[in-house]
Amino acid sequence: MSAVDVLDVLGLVCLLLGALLCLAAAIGLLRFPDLLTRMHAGTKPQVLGVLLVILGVGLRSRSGLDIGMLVLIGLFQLLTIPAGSHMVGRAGFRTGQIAPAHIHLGQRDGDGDDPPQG
Amino acid sequence: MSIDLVELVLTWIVGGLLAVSATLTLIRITIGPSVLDRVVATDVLVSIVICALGAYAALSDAWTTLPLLISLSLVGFLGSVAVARFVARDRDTPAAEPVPDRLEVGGRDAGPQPPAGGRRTPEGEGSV
Amino acid sequence: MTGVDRLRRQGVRRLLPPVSPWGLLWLTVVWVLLWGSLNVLNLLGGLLVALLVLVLFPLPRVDLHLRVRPLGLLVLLGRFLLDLVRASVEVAWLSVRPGPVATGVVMDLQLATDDPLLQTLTAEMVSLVPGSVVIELDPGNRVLTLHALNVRTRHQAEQVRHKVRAQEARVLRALHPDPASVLDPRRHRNGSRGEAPESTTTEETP
Repeated sequence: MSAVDVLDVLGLVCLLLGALLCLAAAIGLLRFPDLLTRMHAGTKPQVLGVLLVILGVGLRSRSGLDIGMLVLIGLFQLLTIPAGSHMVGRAGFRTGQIAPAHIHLGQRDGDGDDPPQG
Repeated sequence: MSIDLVELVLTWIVGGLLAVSATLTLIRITIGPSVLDRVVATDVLVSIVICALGAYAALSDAWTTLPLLISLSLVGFLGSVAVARFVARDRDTPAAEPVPDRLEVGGRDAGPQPPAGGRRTPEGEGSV
Repeated sequence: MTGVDRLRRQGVRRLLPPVSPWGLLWLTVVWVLLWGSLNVLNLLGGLLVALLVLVLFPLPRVDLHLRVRPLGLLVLLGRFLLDLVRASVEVAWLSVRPGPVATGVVMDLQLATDDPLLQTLTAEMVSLVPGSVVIELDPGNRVLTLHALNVRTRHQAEQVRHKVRAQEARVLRALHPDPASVLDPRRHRNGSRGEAPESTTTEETP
């Protein structure tokens, strides 16, 4: 098994992990009870999943400028995802799509009496 | 055990995982229940597509898909921003009256709801 | 070729003072990376396009008084990757584990810095890590509103706050010109937390 083969297999493992994250996110998307928790589930493939897949592609491509392009993909993803998720989260928050379990904790510890349940 | 066999098996596993994830995400897009849920699920679908295209590029040496990935990662968030903007319109100042939280136009009432009818209550009353 | 583009850049700077050299460099790099090969034509074309973009769509000037510390930056990025992996695994487990599904809470948090750029950076990194979604950032009052997953007790909420503050401290240590001045008084205040009847900036309505 040569070094190139090892890199290839490593790249495949990265792809596999990325796909597993996608699956976990999809399951979370179905199981989680409301909008904001579903957003948490969605962050996984959007960030780490894509990064892993890019890493896998890079490990298998091994040409300098393809890797430059892959870095750009990761960078753009990291820059744009928070903007989108922030807008969606804020919209959900403002339109009141939050289960009663989502108690709005105040700023610090001392200003409430009972702990939030559930 | 040859490398080719490992690759073949892993390729099928990756493809299968991504296909199942995309299907589950499509279910969430279909059942909603709100516009924003669908937007979130659509974003996830976009990133699954990105993963799938990347996997395709890596597994079949089709490097022409990379520009596609760049454009997807650049504009993938625009749709959700636009929809979120539209849904949250006129809410830039905190409203005094309870915000109507049903975003559907109707006919979705029979659809699956979160437990305990939670979405009916405006959030602010829970302040600790 | 460097002589040519230096000449070009200088001449342009005399004509159009507001074009920032860093923006030019960045856009050119992106252009070259998009083309996928480095040669004179790509470089010049990239410079031309970058100039056009910067002249036609001028951005508001941002006053950056940052000091980049390589070591702090390394710690910031390394810890970010570690957090990313750990939190992704955690959230993945939460979504597939049998039993009750996870819920979360919305909480406010006081940031230490006034600098909008550093605040934004902190918020972005917090938002990128699964398990926390930034809902609102009020730069004037330095209040970050976020939603954290799987928080059931006040202790857990305090842990999340602690994490976000540590994240902010790392950002400050990497980029702020004088992190000690921002971090230390706050720590002091944190020590006597609870008594200080500060004006509460908690949002009342969603």
